[in-house]
Amino acid sequence: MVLSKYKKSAVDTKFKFSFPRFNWVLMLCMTLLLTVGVFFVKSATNMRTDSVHYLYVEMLVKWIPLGLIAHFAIALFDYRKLSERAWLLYALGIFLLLLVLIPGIGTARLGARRWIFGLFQPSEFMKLCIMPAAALLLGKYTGIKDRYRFAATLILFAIPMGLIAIQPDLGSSIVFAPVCLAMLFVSGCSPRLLLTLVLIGLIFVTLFLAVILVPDRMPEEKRAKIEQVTDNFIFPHWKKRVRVFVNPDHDPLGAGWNKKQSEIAVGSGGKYGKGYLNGTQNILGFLPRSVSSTDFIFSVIAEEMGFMGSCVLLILFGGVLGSIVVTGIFCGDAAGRLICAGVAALFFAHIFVNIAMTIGKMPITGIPLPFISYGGTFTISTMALLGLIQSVAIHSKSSQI
Amino acid sequence: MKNLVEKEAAASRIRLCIMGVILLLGVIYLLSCLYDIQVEQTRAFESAQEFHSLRRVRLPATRGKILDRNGIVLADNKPSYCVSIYLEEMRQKGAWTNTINYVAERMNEISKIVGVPCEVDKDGIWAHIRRRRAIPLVAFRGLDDVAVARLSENAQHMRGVDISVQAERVYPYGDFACHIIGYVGKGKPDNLEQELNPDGLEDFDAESLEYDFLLPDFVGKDGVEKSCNTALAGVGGGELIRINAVGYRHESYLGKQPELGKDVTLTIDLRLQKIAEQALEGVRGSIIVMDCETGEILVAASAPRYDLSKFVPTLSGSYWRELLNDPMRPLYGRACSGIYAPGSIFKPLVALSALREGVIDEQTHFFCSGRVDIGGRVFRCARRSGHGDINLRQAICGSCNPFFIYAGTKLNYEPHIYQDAFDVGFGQAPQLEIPCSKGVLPSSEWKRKRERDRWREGDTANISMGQGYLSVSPLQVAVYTAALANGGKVLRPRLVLPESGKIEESEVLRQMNWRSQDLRLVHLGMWDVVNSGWGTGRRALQEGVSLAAKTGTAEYMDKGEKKKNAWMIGFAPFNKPKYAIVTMQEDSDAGGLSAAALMKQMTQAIFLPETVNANIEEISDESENIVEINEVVPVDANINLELHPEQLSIEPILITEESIGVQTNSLDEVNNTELTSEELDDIYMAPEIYNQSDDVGQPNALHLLMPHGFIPPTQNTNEEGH
Repeated sequence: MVLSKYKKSAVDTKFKFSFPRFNWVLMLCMTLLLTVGVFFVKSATNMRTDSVHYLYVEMLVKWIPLGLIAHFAIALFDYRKLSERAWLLYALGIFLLLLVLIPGIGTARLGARRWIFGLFQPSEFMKLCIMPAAALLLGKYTGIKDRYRFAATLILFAIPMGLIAIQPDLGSSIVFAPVCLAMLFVSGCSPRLLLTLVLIGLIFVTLFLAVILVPDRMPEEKRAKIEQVTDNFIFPHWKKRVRVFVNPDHDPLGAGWNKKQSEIAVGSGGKYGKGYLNGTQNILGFLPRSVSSTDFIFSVIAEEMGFMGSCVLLILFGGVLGSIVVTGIFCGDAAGRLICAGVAALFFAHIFVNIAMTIGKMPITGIPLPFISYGGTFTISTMALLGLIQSVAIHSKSSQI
Repeated sequence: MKNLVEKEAAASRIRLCIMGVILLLGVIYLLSCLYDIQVEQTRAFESAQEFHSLRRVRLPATRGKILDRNGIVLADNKPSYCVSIYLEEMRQKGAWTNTINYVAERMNEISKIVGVPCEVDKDGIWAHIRRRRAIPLVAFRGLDDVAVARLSENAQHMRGVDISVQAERVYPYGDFACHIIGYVGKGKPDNLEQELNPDGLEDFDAESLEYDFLLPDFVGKDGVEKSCNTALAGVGGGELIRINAVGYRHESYLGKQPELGKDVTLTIDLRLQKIAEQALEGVRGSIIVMDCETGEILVAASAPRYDLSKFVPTLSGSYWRELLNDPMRPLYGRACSGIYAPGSIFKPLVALSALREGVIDEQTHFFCSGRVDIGGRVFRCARRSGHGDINLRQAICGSCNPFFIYAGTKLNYEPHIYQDAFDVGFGQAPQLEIPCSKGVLPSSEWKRKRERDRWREGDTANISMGQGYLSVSPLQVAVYTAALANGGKVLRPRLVLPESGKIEESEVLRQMNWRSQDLRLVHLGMWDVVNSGWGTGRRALQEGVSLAAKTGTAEYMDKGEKKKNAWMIGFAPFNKPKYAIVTMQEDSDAGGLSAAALMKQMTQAIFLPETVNANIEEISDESENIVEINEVVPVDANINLELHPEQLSIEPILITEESIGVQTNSLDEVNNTELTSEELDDIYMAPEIYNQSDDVGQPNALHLLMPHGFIPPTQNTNEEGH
């Protein structure tokens, strides 16, 4: 169905009839998801009596309109022209990431310096900046030896990831990894190299887990000594989250609480849910109110709308991911395809990690759900990224498969 | 070449397809997980939610005690049973009014069962809902065992009702040292955020770590309870409570043990403080006893006081308003916060500065004619007839105004007197553990700003006698007295003993630039004040106590009326000073009378303990309980236990321009107008005095007031006790 439409539009150009090659499926999915988001941000904050109660209004009148402007501005701008200035954009992104580390400019909330003047998060902006740069590197500079090209790509990703990780915002930093992997894969990187990369990643994760979990089984004095050393490079709350993930009864008052209550919320939703605005876990505040509108919003939806609601939501997300991939497949040039691969991987990482976290299949990480979670910069950046995909859809050379 | 590009493009398309399939598989995996949780296992989760809800409850730590220096408990805790209502458990469908009505009904039922009226009404419930619903509403307090047993039998069908034991603050000595101890009120623990998020990292963690139910905790609102709140409060713990189908505590799991609050030991001596408070009964004033070697405050009594035991468990609105509207201002801790003109007790400082700078010396003789003209103003001596030819020692002893005006004006106020007064701590808030007033130490610049006028010689003359713009607190005076006694060491006053229980090393803030021979001279003058026959403070003379002192009487204007504050500073024993004592009485007669009487009582209490009965009574626990149950006062939600600055501020007793001329140091008064002089001292001066006759046999009203058998020094019949 989708494919036929694309074929049709390709044919249309032959008759000089310029049917806008806009990705309508993507547009539709995005609109529906944003609508769902507004409704459930309201539901998550409905019991609050302070200004938080009106977060959904803020979303509706501020962030979504700004996102739409960004979306259409980028969609109408030729992504190929953008790719030519990709380095400039990338440099700007890095500059902002450096800027946020300066105490006077970057605003910190409880130890994490993420906002520039409390207004926007440069880490979100970086997601938009890195796509054309990586696409340019991998898609255009084909003259260079593959090995160097791929090494350069790794460095390209490593710089912003490192800068974001020291904010510290490990969650946002890690979502760049699948993007890198996907773009390398689509650009035709040798499977051996990819495998090595994945292996290195796995070793890293295992080491990380081992450093946290192995000392737990050691005698107390030894453990304390090791803890002291590891505290220098792993944040204590990360250790806590990993321990909670492995052992749900660890810290039942603290980090274990969210996980447990979120699971109860999702599970008690059942097939059809408890009805809109009727989620008891949410109303009674078992889902911590501070995160129910952001990172744990899926629990609210799953509780109130049940499995049916989760299905609809996942289908909509599937539609977004599918149409991004399809746009990439029909794109005539390598840069466009790479951008689509990167964006799809990024969205997938967000969706997968967030939902898996709410049902206890992943450790808790502060990664929001695209289009649904409340967030300023995050909403704008996700919509802008889809704008980039629309730009690929509109401006790419028609090509036949 | 083109072919190659085409081939590469096709390959990348295939890879993109593969990626798409992988993503699709991921989404399908999520769906299958959700199916498992939401459809297959949903029963388990539903029951987990309905039958075994877990609640996080904060367990307040037991507050530390406040002890006196000998370990006697001044602020304690006692257990009390409370009935708390978890409003969220009682949430009814629809509007909040349904819930409120439902809760009010339940409360009535409980009230019948336990036989105690409920402490909250519907408005209270509503206020609770509006404000911080996460805290259980304490509806009944101070229940006895029988009531608790009856409630437990009947409470099966009551969801969301819980009996808890709460620590309640007790102040066993009622109004004892109330301004020092302070009081507690209910409040949000101030270190809650830190407690929840000890790592202090990332907003995500901290915000999500809210307790569902926060048991109310006490927070210090005044005095040491407030300033040492962090130590006293301890660190709250947490508890996970599993609630069964009827919403009753099913089992609990201690998440974190609360850490006990630390005890705070004061430097206050219960017996001495009690005697001081008894001495001040019925008057407004203050007594401070300070250890002049360590800076410990043994006594910091203020009068009048308020009853701390009425502040717990709940302060009634009527008592609070009564305190606020009392014209005697009992909420005002005069010892540390009251500021007054010092009067003649300032003279030793002027003498020391003048001696050091050489404008006078031991040999300086001055002829006091009873009056002195400065800048067109006439300043009078206490002794209208004048002291005649006197030297410094005699001038201190007789508190001769013209002598010090002479010394002060010759030296000039700035820089020397000002610098010395500043160094000894006037015009700055003492670094005590509780908030203190800083008083006023004028300077020419200060006057220019305030009065738009330059510093005049008359101002110097005034300040040389401790009058004028200068105002000081009794605590500052105590530090000053200690510095006079210990050879010029300005000590930091201490109210709280360190955990070791003993102050190892006194904290010397500054060393005054006073020469030891000058100090000796001033000490001798102060010795004469008490021990010579014509000293102004001879009424403080006590057999067996070697006291050196100085009296002062400062006049101030209160709503157009002239009033006097009586002061006396002293240190004892004379040869090796140990205690600096300051007594002050507001709206009084003369330093030599009322303040000297207070001084005598204090020296007796310190050095001759067997002669004074402290009469220390604890408020018995039972009587307090009866009061508590019989008159259950509705909690007035509008009571704000924090004192607002405007509530506290007694108009600083600043001498205004029009009153400068009529400042009087007790009997050593200074008048610029002849007219007012007669009205001044009518309380204790018989009109005959104004005859200015120096006859030895002249009847003197003061003689009647003096202790029986006291023979006035023949030479100075007219000298009044000062």
